Order: sequence, then structure tokens, then C-alpha cells
Amino acid sequence: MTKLIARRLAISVPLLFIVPFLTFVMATLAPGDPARTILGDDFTPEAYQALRAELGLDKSLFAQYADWLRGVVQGDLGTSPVTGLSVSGEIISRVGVTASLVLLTTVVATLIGVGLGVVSALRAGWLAKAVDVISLVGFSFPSFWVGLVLVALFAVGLGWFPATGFVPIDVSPRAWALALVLPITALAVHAIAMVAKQTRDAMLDTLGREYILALRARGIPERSIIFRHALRNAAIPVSTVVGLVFISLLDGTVLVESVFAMPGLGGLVVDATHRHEIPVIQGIVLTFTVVVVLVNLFVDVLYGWLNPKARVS
Amino acid sequence: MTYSLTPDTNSARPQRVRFLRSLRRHPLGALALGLLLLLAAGAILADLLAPYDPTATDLGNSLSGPTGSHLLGTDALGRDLLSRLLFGARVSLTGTAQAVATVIAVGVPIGLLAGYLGGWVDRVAGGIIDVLLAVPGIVMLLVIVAIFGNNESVAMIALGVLGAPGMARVVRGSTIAVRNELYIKAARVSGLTTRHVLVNHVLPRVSGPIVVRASLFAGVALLVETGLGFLGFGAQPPDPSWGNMVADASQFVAIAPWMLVPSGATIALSILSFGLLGDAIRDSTAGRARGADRVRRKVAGDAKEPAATPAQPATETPDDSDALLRVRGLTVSVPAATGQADIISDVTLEIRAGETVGLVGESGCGKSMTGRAILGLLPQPVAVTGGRILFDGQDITKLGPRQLQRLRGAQIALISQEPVASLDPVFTVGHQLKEVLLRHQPGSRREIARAAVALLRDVNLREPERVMRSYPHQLSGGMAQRVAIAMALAGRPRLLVADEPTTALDVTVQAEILGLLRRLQRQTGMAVLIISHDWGVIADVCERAYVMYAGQVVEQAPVLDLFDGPRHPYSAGLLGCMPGRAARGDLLPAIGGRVPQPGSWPTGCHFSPRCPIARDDCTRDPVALNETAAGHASRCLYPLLVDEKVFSHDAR
Amino acid sequence: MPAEPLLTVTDLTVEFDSTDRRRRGQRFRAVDGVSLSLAPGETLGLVGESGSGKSTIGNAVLGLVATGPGSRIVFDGEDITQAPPKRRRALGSRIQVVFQDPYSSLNPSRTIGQTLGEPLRATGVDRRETRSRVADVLSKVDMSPDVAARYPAQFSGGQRQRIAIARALIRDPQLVILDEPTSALDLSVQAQILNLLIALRRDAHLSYLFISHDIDVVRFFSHRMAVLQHGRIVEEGDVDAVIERPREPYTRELLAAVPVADPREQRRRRESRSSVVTGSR
Repeated sequence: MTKLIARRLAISVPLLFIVPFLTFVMATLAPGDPARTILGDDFTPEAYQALRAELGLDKSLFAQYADWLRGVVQGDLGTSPVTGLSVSGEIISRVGVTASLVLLTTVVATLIGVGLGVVSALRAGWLAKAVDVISLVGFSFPSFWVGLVLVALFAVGLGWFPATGFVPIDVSPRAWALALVLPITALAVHAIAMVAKQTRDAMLDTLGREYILALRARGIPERSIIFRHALRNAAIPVSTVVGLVFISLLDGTVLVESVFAMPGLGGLVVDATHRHEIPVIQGIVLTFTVVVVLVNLFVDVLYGWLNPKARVS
Repeated sequence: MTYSLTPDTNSARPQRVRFLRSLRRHPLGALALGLLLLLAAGAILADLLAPYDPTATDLGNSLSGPTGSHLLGTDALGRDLLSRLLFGARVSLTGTAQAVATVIAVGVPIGLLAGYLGGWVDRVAGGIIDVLLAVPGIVMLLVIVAIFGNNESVAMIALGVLGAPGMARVVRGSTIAVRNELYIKAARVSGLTTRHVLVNHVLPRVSGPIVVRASLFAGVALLVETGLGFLGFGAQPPDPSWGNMVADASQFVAIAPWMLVPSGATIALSILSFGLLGDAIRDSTAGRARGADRVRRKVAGDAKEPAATPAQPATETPDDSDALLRVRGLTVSVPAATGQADIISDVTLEIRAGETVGLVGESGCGKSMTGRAILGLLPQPVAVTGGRILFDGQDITKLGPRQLQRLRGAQIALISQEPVASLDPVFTVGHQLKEVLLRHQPGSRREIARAAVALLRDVNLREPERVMRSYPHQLSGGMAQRVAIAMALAGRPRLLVADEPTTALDVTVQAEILGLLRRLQRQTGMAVLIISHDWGVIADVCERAYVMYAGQVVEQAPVLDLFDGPRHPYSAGLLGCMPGRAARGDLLPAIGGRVPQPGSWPTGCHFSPRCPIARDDCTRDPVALNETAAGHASRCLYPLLVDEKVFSHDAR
Repeated sequence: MPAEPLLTVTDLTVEFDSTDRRRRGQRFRAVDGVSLSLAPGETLGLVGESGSGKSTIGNAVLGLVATGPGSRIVFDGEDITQAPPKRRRALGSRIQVVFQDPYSSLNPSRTIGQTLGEPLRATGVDRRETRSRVADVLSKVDMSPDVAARYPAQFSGGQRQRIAIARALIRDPQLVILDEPTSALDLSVQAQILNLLIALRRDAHLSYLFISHDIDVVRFFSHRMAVLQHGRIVEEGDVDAVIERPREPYTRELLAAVPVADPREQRRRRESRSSVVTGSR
């Protein structure tokens, strides 16, 4: 168990340094540079040199990286060359939106996905087929498109939910919840499909095992066999998939926040990309990488807790 | 669970033909492939097929919805959506192809080498894979887009690199599985080079998973490509891509929701097709990947008419027996292409209280199925189709699930061949043992715990407290079988079915387990049914034995009589096959031919085609089990005399 | 017994990384100082329980596992302990193997003909010659030549084992390692395969290194036998001598544990043994 976590840390910690460094490397490889982008077509060589110095672009790659790292340690991710706002400030003000979306979607998708998966594993026939269809459809429709259709139907058409925006929970819990329903639904379709499929496969695999037969032969009631033994064993692969779902939701929010014009990190990174604001993107990359590392650590701990073969040494 | 060795006739054809054939068996997969080919053709021939220039505006005809002149309608600038879809396919499908090509080019070699070579190569590759898997995908792509500008090829190749670890992991896993196959070892021993082995043996075997993964990844790549287009990256207006068409539509959700349909449906159908194609390929290659295993587990495919089940031969003795278990004319079948195939036919046996009885035979003779039937635990879709199983006067075949549950563990218990696999891996031995005890006897937590320890001590486990805290994977096979026996005894059953209880164990451990079973049987007075292929085990523990062949009991006798003078040619032949009974230097008096599969049993005596003394009438009618002496019966029209030798020493 | 042995193994050790989580990183000695020799035409049985290292010895002779320092394997006068890959490949025509699991030992996506002909084709034998030699070797294992066009899935375990034997024999080797060749087979099929192996041994003057957990089979099939425990040879000698007059306690324990297919004898042995064997394993 400790070995598992140690290995994960050995991989993750360098990752926190390597990924931002790669963005620096790529930034220097790229044609053009931010100074030129900011100044547009019309600039004097002096202004250009001055801006390069201001942005630190005249220094070596490693020096730029070191500067940036020094800033990160002090909680300073730099400022946006376009808006002049502090990157860390921007991220902190927006992280709540993305966190609400991702966490709630994970919870919703896990509950519904596991439920559907278990039921379809136990009842062959139309329900299993239905789960097949749901998971295929869930895999196939892009979340941003599902989001737009939901807007057309439930916001524009029926007017049940707001079409766009986000309300902080401390302003109005009701408005917060209403604003989240459509984005979460758009994100969850795919996530539910992943969880349901994995749950069903894992349950079917477990129910075919020798020890299930042995439990039946010992007269253990069917309810206990399914919910205590089979589900508990199936939880091992399912927990891994839930971790993957969480990480894929980080990607999903980039699109869904754009659809619903939500002031989250996803929207920020899209805007920053359009404006070539490298420090902002770098800040968000770092944030997402930290989250991915933490989620993976959590999944590893959970996996070890669920699976005695990984835990007991 | 071996019920047959039916050859897989599909595998007689070369792979490519088989692949096309299997697509035919997967109509959805074929449809998906067709649709994708159609889309690709549409993209290539867009110049010819598109009714309009994709950027030509017609403001008088904007947001029209489907009309005769614009089959899929127009957008806000009056541009024809069908034409834009066709030209947009070029962008979206090219991007997808670039990503898929990259994923294969990067992921497959890494996975193949890591899996086949192992060692440090594997560790380095594993590290890189793990690092890349932890990179947040779309955000990384946005970094690349921000830096390299709107160069879609760079973004899609980067996506391929980000997807490569997933591919490498799949290839590595399959390669390791293949590397451990014995035919790879044999190829190496034959002096074939590593390159030859990789190209000719490993790559073909892992190609299935590669294609499946690539197909599924194509779906993901298309999703990402259209996502980037939707966000305004990639193809720039007025040039169409599927993604920016959705973005265009999003501006007019309120007034022209139809615009969402053509682009969304095309994207979804394409991704769906990639997914369905992947599933179809997976299904058609899964058999090859697991190959042997599947054949071994396959149930007999087609069967003849259920051999006109005879008007129950004279096996049905008058039921005045007071035995604990009486199986009468039991027939167990599995549904087959035509009707049903019998796995067990007309089995009659009985076990008295406290008796130890053996059921001996080769694999596929139906002995394990007989054991499972007695517990009411036949695997789907196998079912009892005739006869009765009377336990203490009660017909088990007529009991409902609840009644069976009450019977199992408390009256009839089971121990099986794979002791470690018969324990739930995620709970400690103590947890599982206490659950069984609690099921069968009320008691306080402390009483149950004390009873559990006492049970473990009873099966000769030293340090029972430590075993209670152990997980199954921490036990040796012998310890696990003792634990399994303890669990079987927890409900104080009156009959224990022991299905090959020592087959997976070493001989010295086997001797201990058999000794333990004998002692427990004596102490508790329970009856034991030992199912075994090993004459030595039967000779060691049983009082009486039943010999099974091709779904039937062919002989029953007290063990002394059976070993001294078998009266059925099969029993005699099988006893003669034992190297332990033969003289060194001689050949063994082997039985020629092989055991017939369920569903292809001969009419008349099932053993007749292999029997050296068979006569014409042996193949005519079903043969009944006839008593030859007190307690000794043989299903033979011409039962052997004592010491009659029937098998020659040259069958091989 | 001829003076010149075909195979001599001296002080063979083989170590693995321990798969046991408790001892991760430590080395586990699967074979520990084993010496044995095998004369032309002779069959040496290696018998032992799981984990005794018997299969590893076979793998070491085949060059499939690395040997420890000081180990020496001499085949037909040539030291092959550290044979370079090229030399090793050439030995494939003289040392061959038949494995236990007939299902895993044939590539399910290649025809029997491809599998059998592969080593010939790889060494430059032409197509026609290959075909006729495949047909030849199939007839040696009592199978018809048209078997070559079919896939492994169409054959039973016993038939597959015949094919695996044919693969081992196609280049007329001098030594065949038989690694539990009948353990996965039913009793009646085992008898057929043992008879086949005996006939082949007689016809081609083959040497067998016969690895098995089944003492009865080893006694019936081998000339000499070695009893292994924890990677070491406990006792070695003529089969009859070892079985009739075992000197070592472990050999005696092993022999006593094998149930004899004779209820009377078994009862007698049980009574005499009950005092000796106790405890859990």
C-alpha cells in the first residue's frame, strides 16, 4: 500500500514540474512570440524590446522557468499580459464554479451509473439492452451538443432552467441549484455511461467467480451475495473508473462552461487561448495537474482500501 | 466446468475471411463500417457531391430548415448545411485520422516492446505511460493551440501523443498475456529470432486489441476535434468544420433549433459508428485472444435429437431404500441448436447416512454436474430435465430458491477443486467464516467468534487466530482447503459433496486433507460424496463407488469388488490405464479413441465404439444398469468376468 | 550405460526476483546446486511437488532462464551454459520441449502446418520439402497429413499434445524435455500419449528429461529418477531402487503420500502412516 502511494508520488511530483516546463519549451519553439502578439502589427522596435524585457522573454528558457517557479512557490502565477489581472486571483475567483460542476457530476454519475450497472447485471433482457443503448448514446453525443439541446428544450422551450450563467450558493442556493441542473446533465450523460458499463462488466465478472458458487453452496442468502460480496468486489474496478471519470470531467467542463457561459476555469482557459495569454493557461494547467495528481492519489488509497491484495503486505 | 471440447469450426478459416464473416454476424458493426466509409467517400468527393459552394451565402434564404432545394436547411447566412457538412467532414475526419495514426505509431511499438522485453524497458515505458496518463488532455491541447496558433494538424498529432499511453497500456497488457503463452516459449526453443516471434506470433495476436482501441480512440479524437472546432479553434469561418457548425447553431438555439440537428447527428453517428465497430471487432477477436480457454468452456453447440430418451430402463428400483440421498433417473440437459443436449442421462445413485461414496470418471463424463445438481446449483442454462433427487425424502428438483437456500450449507455442503478461488478475496477468513456460522446458528458476537476459532482448530489449522485475520491470498492451497472445509462444516451438514477436493494440491497435502476428511466424517457421522478422476483417492477414502462414462453411471460396486473385479469394460480399461498398476518397460493397455461429447453420444451403449468386446446388439438399444452381484451393477450386456483382459497393449 | 553422457548439468542454480510481496526485492533460489546427467537414449525423471524447481531445471537447459554463477550445462560435449543467442537458436534442432498445457502451447491463429513447418521454413527449407516433412512427422504421432490445414481449436487436448510432440520431433532432436506432458490429460488419454512417447523413444533413440509431479508415471516411464525438494536433489538413482528402497525421509514421505489404487494396500499404508504425518502445510 505504502509502496503504491510512494510510486504514485514518485511519478506525480516530477509531473508538477515537467508539465509546466514543457509549456515553456513549446512556447519557445513556437513561431512568433507573445510580445508580437500583444503589440499587434504596428509597433516600434524599442517598444518591442521593452515589452520583451518586461515579459522576461529576453532571458534564457531555464531562467524564465526558474522565475516562474519562484513565483509559484510564493503563490504568484504572474499576471495576464492582456488584462493585467493576477492569474492566481483569477483562478481563485473561478475555481468554485468548476469545482461545483465536477464534484456534483461525479456524485450524480456514480450513483446513477452504479445503480444502472448493478440492475442490468442482475436482470438480463430489456434492461441490460437499455443500459447498452444508454451507454452507446452517452458515448456518442458530445457534451457541448447535448448542452445546447438541453438549452433549446428546457431553457428556451419550457423555461424551467436558466439558459446560461452561474449563481454562487451563498447568494441563492435555489438559483445555484437551478443553474447547475442543465450543465451537470450535459456532463453526466457520458460519465453515467462509463460508470454503468464498468459496473455491469465488473458485476458479471464477479458473479461468475468460483467463490460466488461457494457462497451459494454455504447457504448464504442471495441478497448478501449480491450486495455484500459481489458489489464489494466489483467496487475495485469501478473506483478506478470513477477516478477516470473525474479527470475526464475536467476536460468536459472546458466545453460545457463555454456552452452555458459559466465563469469557471474552463471558460477562462478558452478565452486565454484565444488571446494567447500563456501565463494564464500555464496557471490553469498547473491547477488541473495538481487536481489530477490529488485525484489519482485518492483513487490509489481507495483502491488499496478496497483491495486487500494491494493493501496487505 | 468442462462440458465439452466441441471444435470451433469457425477457426478453420484464415483470419481475414473470418473477420469479414464475423462482421456479417454483427450487422451493427457492418452498418457502422459502411456508414464510416460513406462519410469518408462524401468528404473525398465533396466537390462533386455538394449541391452548393459551402461558403456561398444566400441571405434571402437564411435559417430555412429542410426544404427541397436545401435538404438539410441553411444557416444564418443562408449557406447550405449539407454542403457545409460534406466539406466539414474533410476537416474533422482528417484530424481524426491524424490523431489515430499518431496513437498507433507511438503507442503500439512502446507497448509491444515493453510487454515483450519486460525488465528495465518495461519499467521505463511504464513510468512514461503513467506520467502521460496523468496529464489533463484538453487543457494541454489548448496550450498547444495557444502556442502554435490554429494549426489543427499539430493539435491532433498532440492528441495522438496524449492518447498513446492508453494504447501502449492495452498493447503491453495483451503482449504480456501472449508472451506467457507456451507457444511463444516453444517458438523460442525452436530457434526463431525475437523479430520473427514478435512479427509472426505476437503482433497477430495483439492486433485485435489494437484495432479495437484505435477504433474507440477515433471516437474520442472526433469528439475532441469537434470540441475544439466548437470553441472556435481549427478551421476558421467561413470554412466549415463539424465543430464550428455546432457553434454557429448555438447562436440561434432560440429561433432555429433545427440547425443543431444535422451537425450534431452527424457527429454522434460517426462516434457511435466508431464505437460499434470497435465492439464488433472486440467480439470477433475475443475468441481468438482467449482462444483455447473459450473452446474448453464452450457448451456443446448442436445436438442430435435427445437420443429418444428410453422409457426409463429398469434402473428404477422399487423405492424402499432408506438412504439419505437417492438420485433416481436423473437427466440434466443444456439447450442446443436443435432441442437439447443431455449432459447427464438416467443417473441413479444413493448415499446412506454416514457413508463415503466415490463418483469416478474422466472429464466430461458428467460427474461434477451430478454434484452440482444435488446442491441445486446447476449453472445457467443447464437444467434438470428428468428424474428426481430425493434428500431425506424431499425432492430437491422441486424446491424453490428459498427452500434450496435453507437446505444448502445446513443439510448439504460443498467443497471444490480450487480452494483459494472458493473464498471471497476481499474479506478475511474470520469475516467469511463468521458470516456462515451466523447464517446457521444464532449466537452473540463472542460466541460466534469462539465457534469460528474452534472450527479452524478442528480442521487442524495451527494458529487459528492468525488464520482468522488472514485474507485468502495469504493462504497456501492446503490451508485454504482446510478453511473451505471448516466453512462447509459450519452448518453441520448431513451430506458433504467434495468435488475433486485434492486435485489442485500436492500429494503430501492431499494425504493430509484426505485424512482430515476421513476423521471429520467419522466424528460428525456425515455422508460424503467424493467426486474424483483419481482411482487412488477413491481407493483411499470410499466404501462404494460409481463409475461414470459419457453422462451415465456404467458401474457401481463396493470399492474392494470394483478394484478386484470390474464388470464393465470401461471401468476395467480405466483401471488398466494407470501407470501405477503397469509393469515398467511395457506399454499401457490403453483405451483407443476418445470420450464422445454430450450431444453426440452413440445410441445403445455409450462405450460401444471404443469397446473391444462390443457386439451388434450393444449399439441397438439403451443398456440398463444390471445387478451382477449383491450391490454390484454394470451397464453392460456382456459384463466381464473376473480377471478378463480386454485391452491390448498397443493403443496409443 | 555408455560412458559419454548426452547432457551433464553441474551445480545449476537459478534465482528469481521473489514474487512474494513480503520479500519483494529479494532473490528466490528456485534451483540450488543441482547436478545430473543423462545418457543417449535414457529417460531421467525429475519428480517433486510444486515449487521444487523441477520445471526450472528444464527451462535452464532450454536457455529460457538465466543460470546463476558456477552453473555448467554441457550438451553433447559442448558447454551451452552461456550460449550466445545465435548458437542457442541453432540448438533448437537438437534440444526440444513438450509442455504441460496443450491449449496454450499451440498458437490458435496459425494452422498446424504453419506451426510445425515454421522452424524448417526459418532455416531455409523449401515449401515442398517442408510439406512432406510435416506430413511425415504427423504420421509419426498417428495423425493424418490433412491435419496440417486445420487450426488448433479443432482438436482435443490429447490430439493437441500429439501435435506438440510432432513439433518437438520435426527436426529430429536428440534430447526432448517433457515438462509434465500428460498432467493436463485424462487417464485414458495419458495412457495413449505415454505409449506414443515410449514408442518414439525406442524408434529414434531419444533422450528424455521427464518432469512430473506424478511418481507413478515417473516410475513407469523413466529409467532413472531424481527427487527434488526446495530446488535441490534429495535422492537420485535407478527408478526401482529409489521407489523400492528410498533412503531419504522426504522420498519416503512422498511415496507414502501417493494413494495406491488398491483399497486393501491403501488401508494398510494408512494405518502405518497415521503416526508419521501430521501438521498443516
